[in-house]
Amino acid sequence: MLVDEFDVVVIGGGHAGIEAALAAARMGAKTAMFVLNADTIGQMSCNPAIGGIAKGIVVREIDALGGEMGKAIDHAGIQFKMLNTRKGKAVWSPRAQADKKRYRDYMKRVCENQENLHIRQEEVVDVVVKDGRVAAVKTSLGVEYKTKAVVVTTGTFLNGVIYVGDKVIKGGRMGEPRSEGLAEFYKRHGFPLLRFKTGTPARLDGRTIDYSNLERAPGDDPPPKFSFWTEPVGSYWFEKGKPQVDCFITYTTPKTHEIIRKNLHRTALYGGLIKGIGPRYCPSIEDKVVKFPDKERHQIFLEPEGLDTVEVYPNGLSTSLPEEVQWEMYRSIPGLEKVELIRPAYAIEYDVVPPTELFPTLETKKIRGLFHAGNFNGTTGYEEAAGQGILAGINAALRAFGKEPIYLRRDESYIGVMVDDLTTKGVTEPYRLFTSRSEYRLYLRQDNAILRLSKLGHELGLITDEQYRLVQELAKEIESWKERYKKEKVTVSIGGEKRSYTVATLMTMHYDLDKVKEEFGLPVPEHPYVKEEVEIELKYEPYVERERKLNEKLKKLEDTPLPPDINYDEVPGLTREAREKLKRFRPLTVGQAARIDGITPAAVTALLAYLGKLD
Amino acid sequence: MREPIVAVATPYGEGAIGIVRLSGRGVLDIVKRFFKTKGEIKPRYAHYGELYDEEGNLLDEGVLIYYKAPRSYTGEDMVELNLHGNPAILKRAVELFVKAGARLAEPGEFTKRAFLSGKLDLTQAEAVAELISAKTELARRVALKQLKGELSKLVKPLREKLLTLSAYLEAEIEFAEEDLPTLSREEVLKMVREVLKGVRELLKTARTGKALREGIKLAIVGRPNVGKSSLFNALLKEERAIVTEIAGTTRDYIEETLQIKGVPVKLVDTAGIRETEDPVERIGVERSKKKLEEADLVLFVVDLSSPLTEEDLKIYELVKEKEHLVVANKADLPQRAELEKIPTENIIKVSALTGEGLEELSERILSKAGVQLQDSVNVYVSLRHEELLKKAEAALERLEKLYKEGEPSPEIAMLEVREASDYLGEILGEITTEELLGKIFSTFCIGK
Repeated sequence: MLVDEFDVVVIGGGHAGIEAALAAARMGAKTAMFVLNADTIGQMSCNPAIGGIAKGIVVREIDALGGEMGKAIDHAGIQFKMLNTRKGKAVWSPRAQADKKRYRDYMKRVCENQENLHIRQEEVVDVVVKDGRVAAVKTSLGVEYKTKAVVVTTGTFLNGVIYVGDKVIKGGRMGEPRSEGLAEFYKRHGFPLLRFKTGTPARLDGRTIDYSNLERAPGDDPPPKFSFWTEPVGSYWFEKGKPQVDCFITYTTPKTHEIIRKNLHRTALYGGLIKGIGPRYCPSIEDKVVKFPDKERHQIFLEPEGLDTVEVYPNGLSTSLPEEVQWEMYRSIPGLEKVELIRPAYAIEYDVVPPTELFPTLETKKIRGLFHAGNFNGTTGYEEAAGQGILAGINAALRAFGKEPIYLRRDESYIGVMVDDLTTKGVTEPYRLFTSRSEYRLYLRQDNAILRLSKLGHELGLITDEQYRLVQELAKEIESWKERYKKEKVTVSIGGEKRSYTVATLMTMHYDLDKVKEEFGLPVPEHPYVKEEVEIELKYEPYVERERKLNEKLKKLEDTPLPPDINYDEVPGLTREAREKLKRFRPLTVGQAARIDGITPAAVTALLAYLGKLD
Repeated sequence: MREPIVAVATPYGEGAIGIVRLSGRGVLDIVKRFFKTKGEIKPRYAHYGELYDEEGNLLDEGVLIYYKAPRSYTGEDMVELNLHGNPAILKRAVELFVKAGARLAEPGEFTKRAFLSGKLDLTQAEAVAELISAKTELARRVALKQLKGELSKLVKPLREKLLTLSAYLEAEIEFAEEDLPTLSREEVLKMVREVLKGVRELLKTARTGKALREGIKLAIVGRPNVGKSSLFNALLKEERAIVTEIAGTTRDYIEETLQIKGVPVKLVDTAGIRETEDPVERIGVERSKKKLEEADLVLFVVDLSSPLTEEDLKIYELVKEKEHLVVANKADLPQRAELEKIPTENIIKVSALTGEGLEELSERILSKAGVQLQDSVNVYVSLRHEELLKKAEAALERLEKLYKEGEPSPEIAMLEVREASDYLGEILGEITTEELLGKIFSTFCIGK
């Protein structure tokens, strides 16, 4: 039964689904968001926080592309911090604690009020494919909706299985049903499915925590914000004096570790129930105790889940121990001696389609118009999910309009780095972004996200003319101050010796513009963003240049396209493994080919030789 | 698999055995059309058989060995046919196989294919080429060690150390909020200096490596009749240059290769360097000057048995800026030369006639050319390695400076670490891969 017709259907209303649906709708595509429960749109399934190293930069990239995550956390944040401030600004990154309910409410309201966006509480169980293209979706109640593109963002819900000790529960999140039908669809079309695993700690009753001896972890003043467009517009900082709440720090004890060791066989992971692969960098507490037996204590952050709830998230204590052992284990930690658990910790296993099935546009190679984003691609983290979501949503809309999809390059954004990593290397464990994943780290900074990506956002219609005009004005101002400081010279006396430097050079030598104004009476930019950006860019320019040179070799490979109709059987010098991988991955450039696991430098040489690009 | 190639693998000329080698697609079928054996051909077995031409005429008998991909030198299907070492037979066999679809191999193509198939890393592929062209036993042994991966064995731990350092620096950036162990300035400096030391030790072998690969270029100069050619011959231990009593008879330079303690030495005999009106000789003189420029080391020969002349001193002016040794020849005759007129420590008295002082001369030649042969050293790096090592050294020196002057921000330090590591990786022919995260996660307990 055909009920309605859409340009784009988004399956899922999590962090990926929201950005996908909003981007498509804002680009003018008639979009539907299918969710299992319309009340949990924008739910933070795990920790009550947005941002972090690299992740915070992604949020600003999403913002520069006209996405919503940054605005949502600016609205719902209850504590804001800039991380890594003791290190260079190239690796600074914003992070915020969220009031989970406010975050969810905000996101739901934005989706509801979005023109062109239709929310449907229905489970999609099948995608109809005609002539290799997406044609319609079918729901569990037998309703069919025609559509030109589909974005699948099922997160941990597809065939989700929850483990608490030896208790096994079917579900996509504790207390919520899972989705099943789509797995059948994927099998039918020959997509491989992987099982991935992740976990979340118990939620504690904050009234039963004794904070008196715990270390306080407050927010920053002024606090960093995520969106360039949150008041004050045109800046990445809130005004001073924003009210914030504290987090607290505690540590596990030898007794905690003893309890874990004694009950290890009862965890779902070590007891052998879970077969899925978990993330190395978000390990359960039992993982940490087993893999680092010499470490005497592990740090735990106690993070409030919101202003209107007593629930507290103990960051660092995810576990799949049986519930009664969880109580004992948590109570062995200072401050938690009398703690009560509101929700038990659990581990969850779910289906993932390997992202090597995708082009860097996030469209599947097998079915035109079908896009994947978020944890379903094997990533972890709200920010990673949202970053893929906005790209998938943009491309789904472009497909629906009959236009060519776009992809983001590694040298222009972390989203580009992530999607390239995913689609060329695949995943062997849940993927998380790190700054070290980017060879352009010194350029891909939090402070310049708006300058890097708002042009694209504007071209896609996701950044308004007015917004873009402001960015252009600021960018122009930044350039002209930089030019000026590269010429303007001042005399500095170092160890009694007088020497003349340009202001630009001073920026590389522990000077900032306030000091320049003070010592030499020179004018400095009025606009706080311009001032900060001029400082950072002048300071990092020489290093960014070095970084660029180091990458030139890679860039050459990046700029060498592989013809889409290339016949790898004809390329001499490829091993069978390389040949098979290349046929399977169908990389778009030699650079992408080089990053595929199992493609040796020799294979790259062979490809270049075949293309006549070997010097 | 690539197209089939064929070549004679043994040197040209008559010998007991000559080997025709094929590699690539369908080579066994190609050979089987002409080489008849009893029974089925099994990989890695020696099969006796007979070679026939297209008309069925018996050409030769021999032994066939078949290597099945990927377990062969090139990683492809290969056939080695051992025939009698008669150039005509071998040529005929190659012709047959070419007609049957194989292509004549280009020089080095078998090794290139081995590298492309990932059978050899870059240092090993280089070693194969060096092994083949090695001019002396020592050069051959050194190349063989490199083929066995000795150089990789030395470079890999250096890179590994940088990887460990990276893990610490990166963890500092990525996990700012976690209480992870960090390295103190002193610890970083210690690691950097260890790598630097390793790089410099490899660099120290560069001059010897160059000498072993290319030979020491030695020019012999001196006025006529001081015995340059006799000395040359004495070093060569066989007559090559024309030696007469008439001045200027060695009209052209002659290049010969000899070895000193296993190091190839290219001797450059020069016509007497002096002003001359004779146009024929003029060309020789010009060339000699040019040769002088190219030489790694100049032997300036004087006659110990006669007083030094103006010309001797003029020539000395020419050579004294170069790496040189003054060889006072004819030490078997009474000394009449006033050697104190040549203000240098580098004088050796020899007699080309009796061989007196030649041993000392050999040693001085090696040490002057920067050759340091040590039993404990297995690897002597090549020019390509030297260039990359120097770049790595420069990055490491910048890194050392950063930490000597203060505590740099880790992302800046990482720029240098990455650069050094990239260059070391290039020696092995590796593009830097993402070993780093693996290293981080096996080193630290991460995750709140």
